[in-house]
Amino acid sequence: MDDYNQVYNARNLTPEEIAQHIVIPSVASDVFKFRNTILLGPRGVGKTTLMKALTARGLFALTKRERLPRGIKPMSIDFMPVYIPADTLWKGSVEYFSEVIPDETDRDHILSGLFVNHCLREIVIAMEGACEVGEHFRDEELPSWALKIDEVQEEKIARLCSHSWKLDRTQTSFLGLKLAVLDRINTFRSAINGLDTSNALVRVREFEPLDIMVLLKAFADVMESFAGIKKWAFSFDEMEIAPKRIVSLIYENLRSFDQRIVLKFSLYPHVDFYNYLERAQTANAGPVPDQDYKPISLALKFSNPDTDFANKLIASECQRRGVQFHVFRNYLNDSKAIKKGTREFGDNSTTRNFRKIFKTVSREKVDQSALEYLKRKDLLDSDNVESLSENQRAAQIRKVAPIIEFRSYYFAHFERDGQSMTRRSSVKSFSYYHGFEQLALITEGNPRAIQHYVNELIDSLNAGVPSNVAQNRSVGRNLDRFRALVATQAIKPEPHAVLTENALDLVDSIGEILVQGVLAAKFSTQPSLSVKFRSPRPETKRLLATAINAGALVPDADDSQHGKILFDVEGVRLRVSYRLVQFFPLPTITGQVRVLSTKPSKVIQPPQPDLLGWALEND
Amino acid sequence: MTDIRFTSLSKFDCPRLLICALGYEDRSTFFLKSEEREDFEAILAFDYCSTGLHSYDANRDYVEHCGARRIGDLAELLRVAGELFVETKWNVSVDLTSLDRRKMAEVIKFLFLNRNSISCVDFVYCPSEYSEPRFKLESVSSFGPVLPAFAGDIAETRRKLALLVGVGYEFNRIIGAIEALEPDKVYAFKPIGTDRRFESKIDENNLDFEFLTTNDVLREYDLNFPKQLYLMTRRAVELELSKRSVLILPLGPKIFAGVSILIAMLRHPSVMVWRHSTTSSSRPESTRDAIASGVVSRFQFEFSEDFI
Repeated sequence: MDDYNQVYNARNLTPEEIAQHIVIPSVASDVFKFRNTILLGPRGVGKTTLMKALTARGLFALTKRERLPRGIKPMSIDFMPVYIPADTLWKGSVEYFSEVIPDETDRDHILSGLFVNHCLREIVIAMEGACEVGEHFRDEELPSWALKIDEVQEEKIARLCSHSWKLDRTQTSFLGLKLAVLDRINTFRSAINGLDTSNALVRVREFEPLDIMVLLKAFADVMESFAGIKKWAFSFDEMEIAPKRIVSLIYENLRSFDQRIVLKFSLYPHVDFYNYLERAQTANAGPVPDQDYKPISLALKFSNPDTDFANKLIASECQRRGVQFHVFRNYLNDSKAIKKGTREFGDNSTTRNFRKIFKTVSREKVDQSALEYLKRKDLLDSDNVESLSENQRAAQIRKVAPIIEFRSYYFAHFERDGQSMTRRSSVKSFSYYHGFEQLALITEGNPRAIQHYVNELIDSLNAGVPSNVAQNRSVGRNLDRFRALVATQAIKPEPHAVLTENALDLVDSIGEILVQGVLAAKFSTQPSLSVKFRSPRPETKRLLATAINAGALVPDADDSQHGKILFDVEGVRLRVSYRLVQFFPLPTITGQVRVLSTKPSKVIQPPQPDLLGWALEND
Repeated sequence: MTDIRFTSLSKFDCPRLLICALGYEDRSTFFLKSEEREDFEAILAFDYCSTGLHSYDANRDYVEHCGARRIGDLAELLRVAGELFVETKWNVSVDLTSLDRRKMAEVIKFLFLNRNSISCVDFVYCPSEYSEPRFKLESVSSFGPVLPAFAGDIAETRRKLALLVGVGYEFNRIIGAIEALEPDKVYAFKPIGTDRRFESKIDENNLDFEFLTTNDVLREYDLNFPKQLYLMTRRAVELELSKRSVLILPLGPKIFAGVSILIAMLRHPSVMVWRHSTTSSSRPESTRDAIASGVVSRFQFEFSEDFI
């Protein structure tokens, strides 16, 4: 056991800690701009990290770092950021609200009251942070995200806020404001979690409804008058778990809100805060991506992913553990399970040696179908390969060689009635996924996954465990861990339906269908490696959405009409996450799309890697 | 502030009520069978109405034979229990064995609210004989507070989360919970003290706890000594409440759930108690019988209006 989780679990880190350790992705410069932004990506991809870095305390810590990527200039940020984390009450299902508050009007009042007061409290916390940071600057150096106010100014602000926030008693300090709002939050909560909710309900009904958008503007007015702050960015984190009405409210305000204020929020790739009808109604009036807001996806791209950021994360983790990056990289590339000569490892990249791959297939004579293809196309002759034009190479080699390479790891000889035959071999060995280049892919560039993998592998490196054994173990462990995460995602069944499957079951069904193509006895040059659903049933849509948001299925964001936000999964190209492909197995490349009109039924396959079986192979 | 004191039933000469569940597991009547019928003034059995499923029919016959009142609506059952609490104080035994966590929480909340009418509470749990676990990832329909009352509060000093999790056979469920809740610290409570085969299978079903970090704590508790479990859990809760929000996820044996919910009730509304809701109970093919091991794990206490 090691202390792996402590670095990238942004929720539990202070903005200072995050700013000190963050490996800054290239998209950060867009996030730090004064413009409306929606950060998209599944869990653990770094949304909270970026949002927490964009706070007064985070920015101040960034100024202390020696080197920052081009485009990241904290002192040039000319607005005051306010970070608003998700309300803890939203975690888990908010559906139980309806049990305890059956009346819809009451429920709306309480949900709205909780959200507004939660935001107000976080605004005050942000102001306290800006004041703390402000103490480190001389007046003439004060950046826009730091605050210097005296007691008189603070009292004036607190008095005016008390009035506009409709607090029972006028407060004269930020602390007073914060505690008064906290008290109101807990009163609202007591209508839900109280032992006598009826009395609490009577009390909260007395609170006047508050409109967060109006209050944000009023707060900007007050702060402009008494502290000279002219521009604001309100960042709402984890909006995927917020009540739908609240997400809709903020989303709709991206279109036009207030020139002084930008809104930023994070979401999972698939959203359900608009149903079909609402979408149709707001199609013309709703915010337009790249015009009203900048959609930013933090996940690895659907195809040809850029692993530069993932590599930086790996390098950072190596540095933290005191292991030289090149030592770690060589350790992975030295796996004896990688077929000799088929990959050429440079300092910055890995190149497939197609001739060696083809020769290996020819020498092993296991994948007869692929071998026949190579012979038919005359690709076993090096001279012939050399003579191909660039276009011919692309068509005949670059597309098929990765498939041939993948198959070469998963076919084995066996004898029947004296005849030599070929079949799929056990997939307990994860040799195809070994090597440094593959590590960036099989983590999908997910910082948390990278952290798990790299630390486990560094432990093995330090303990002298052979590279192939270490990588097999690590792949198995992380595969198990991620499968557990996907399987335990809550899915509310359709009304009157019994939930019989989880998101993992669906992903497994998709994976099984795809593996039948890529590992078919008959070699196909262009097997399907992605799927699209046509008219899926509602329960399938729910499973798909859950799998996408858990990161188990990766959507092709270019298929979305809403700037990477998926309102509907129908017709969207999906691939199985590279974090899961080892189970089936599938290659870490994209291929043809297979259209499915219904959820694929489960296919019984030859021996699959049992969960928990990972430690056995090659140990 | 309301708290509890350890005590024993024999100390109180009061009428005794048994609240239990009439379920499909053979062990759901084990405790009733092990006690003298005359010991109980009243028996109220929550009826899961699972006719034809595993041992349900035999259990129903036995419960009827004992003169227990079968009630299929928990609110009605608690109303009937409340009507008993007049004039005299009662000793209340709650057989947690076959109660689901949500109903268990309702019962414990009811006891807490009626604490002035109760002399002694007796939590009972009958562990099952060893059976092979399933390496199956069950479908989860919701993950949230066991009851709204256990949704927690907001405190100025607590921004991070401590997750106290009871460990059981539930395949990989803890990993999913850790990923979902992102706790700053995890306390995993692993049951021991019955069949040793359970222990290795629990490890196996939880990936040998390799997901825990050095910051986390793995503790064993003996099912035969629920008082120790209570003290161990209470200490962790009190320690953590001073710096983190506390969320308890009572997987594993129901005695852990009972103890957790009791502690959350005593520290209400600060401690959250969550559960995974699965639909396996509504799918008979996914259920299976459980035979009592013969051990009866008990935890007896009285409510007090001061600290321990």
